[in-house]
Amino acid sequence: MVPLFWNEFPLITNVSGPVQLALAVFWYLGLAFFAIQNLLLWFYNVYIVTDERIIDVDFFGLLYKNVNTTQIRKIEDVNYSQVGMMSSMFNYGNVIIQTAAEQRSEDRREEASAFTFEAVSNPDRVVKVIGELMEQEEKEEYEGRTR
Amino acid sequence: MENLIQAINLSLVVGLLVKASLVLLTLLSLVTVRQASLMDKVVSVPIGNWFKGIAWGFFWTCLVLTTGIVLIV
Repeated sequence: MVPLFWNEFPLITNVSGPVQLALAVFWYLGLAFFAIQNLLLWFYNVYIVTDERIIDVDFFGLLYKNVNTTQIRKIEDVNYSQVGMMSSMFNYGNVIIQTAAEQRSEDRREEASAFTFEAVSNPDRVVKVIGELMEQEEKEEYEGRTR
Repeated sequence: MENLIQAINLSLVVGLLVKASLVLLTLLSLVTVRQASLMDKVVSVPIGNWFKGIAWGFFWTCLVLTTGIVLIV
């Protein structure tokens, strides 16, 4: 839409028609690039919870990724936080999982833990599920059924 | 020298900047293609091919438009 209003800007009106066209093409391609990049980053930032381990895959920008994996039995605490009106209204929040050996990997975000599930929906349910898996794992360990 | 200075105008400068930016954007779109492929390897999902298709589509669009603009404008 912005190129439609370019005639309002004196600097742009002073350049020739083909250059204005090139500017418009650059604007739309840049916009599409921004959208595609954010779509990819959003889609591939995943958190995987299985009955044995937890995997946190974080992508930052195009050239940096951070993959954290831990076993369920190494988890010590699971907390979640919902900060602000939007997170309360739409029921999303950050789930923070603390493990026994907390050797931090190099992280671009200032996360509270290496295993921080950011802005996940129903954080209470996530905490409940992980809690149940921890209990199940403890039970299996007690019964000598650990894999 | 004076002729050269007289030949420089706003359209020329802006045109060159836009062309350089478009070339850079095309290179970045190629990086996006590679990154989408790597992301798909790390997180294997059925819809991954669709994202790779988008990245490739964007790259070819960038390449065609950039080539056109660099050659024509």
